[in-house]
Amino acid sequence: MFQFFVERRSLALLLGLFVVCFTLMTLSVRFRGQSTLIERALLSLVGSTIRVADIPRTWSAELWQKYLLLKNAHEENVVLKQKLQSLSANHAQVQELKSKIARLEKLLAASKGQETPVRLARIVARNRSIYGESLLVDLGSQHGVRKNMPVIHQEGLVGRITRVGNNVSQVLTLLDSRSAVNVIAQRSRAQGVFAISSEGESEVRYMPFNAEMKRGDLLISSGLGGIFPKGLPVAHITEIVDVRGLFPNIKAKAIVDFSNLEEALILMTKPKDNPWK
Amino acid sequence: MIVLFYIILAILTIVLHTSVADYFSIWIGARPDAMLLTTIYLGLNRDRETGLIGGFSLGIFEDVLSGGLLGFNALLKGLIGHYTGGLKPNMTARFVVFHCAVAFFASIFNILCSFILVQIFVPSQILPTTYWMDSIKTAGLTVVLAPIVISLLGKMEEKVLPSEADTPYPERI
Repeated sequence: MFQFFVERRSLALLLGLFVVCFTLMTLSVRFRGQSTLIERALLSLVGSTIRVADIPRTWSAELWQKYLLLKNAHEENVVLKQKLQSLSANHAQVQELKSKIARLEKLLAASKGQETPVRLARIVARNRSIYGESLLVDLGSQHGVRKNMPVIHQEGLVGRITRVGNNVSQVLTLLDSRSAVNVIAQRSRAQGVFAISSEGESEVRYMPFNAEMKRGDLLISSGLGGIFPKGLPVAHITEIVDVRGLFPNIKAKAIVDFSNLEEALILMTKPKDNPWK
Repeated sequence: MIVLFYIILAILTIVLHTSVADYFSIWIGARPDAMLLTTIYLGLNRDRETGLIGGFSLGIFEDVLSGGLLGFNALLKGLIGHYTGGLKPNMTARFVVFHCAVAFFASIFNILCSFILVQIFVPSQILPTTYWMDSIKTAGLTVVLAPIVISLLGKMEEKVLPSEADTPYPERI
């Protein structure tokens, strides 16, 4: 019998398979709901095996996750950089607009004090020549701008229109040696002419020697000459150098900071008010 | 050495069956029968006895893991291993259609016999309505993967155990 099974090992194994499996199935059905000793033993064996064998899989899965995370981080970084650049540009624009609004608000406040109508002009170019500095604004004859119209800023007087184009105009500033403004010292009411000396320094000419002048006194436009309205701040006295002559040598500095000028107001004076036209 | 190789193979199959096969389930809605593929490989590459023992061992693990009727997968896989082991002397060609055909018939046998055995031993258990559709999907995926897996495992065995490779049956036993 045993020799028979040894000779036919394959058949014996097949029979054994049937016997074992049917026994297991029968036991499984009989003890349904309960785990048998065989099941528990096999489950423990499988559990331990899976736990050990699962380590490389978990490791590779984690590695893959990290790779994806890194890959996503790189892509995210690129997108965020682009966003940052865009936001930086937007931020700069917002800052520029805020600055512009602040400037325009000041100009608006300055324009409210004027009797004559005003127009806001944007400075589009600066020209520095041997005579001094002139500006180009974006308003011309088609906007109603005419020669000799005063140009002001919220701080004070800027200059006057000297040449008018169709849509641009040239402004002769106070810093140009060809410019001269009749001024009054606000405190002492002494009159003089604010102009640029041959050395390129701003000064007050023809001020009476007995005028009581002090450093820091404000000079305002006198209104004489018919170009500039009376009362516009023009300059501050910075230094009184020599008072021995007929006219004292008085240094002054224009109130308007021309280096930071971006917008200005043109006083739209009527031609009849302007005797120089 | 060969025993160690098959133990590692069995462990890999169990891991594949329990963990990696789920990825297939997510991608294409079906998971390959890793136990069946390994059983076919054992049968085709070795003999009836190895196929039977390997199939039985893998089947019993599958039964334990599934928590169902203990022994029925062991029986079916054992029978499949035994049968595929018997094909070896007659079918020596290593071509794709042969592997696919073996996997196809083994899958069909597995599906039908599983159904019958469950009906016999646990008649009160109602099979899910998706049983047949899921089984067909699994069979399809197993058939597609069979030539790849069997060739891959064959190459691995040749690399690991070159002395065993190309040894004509039945001297390989």
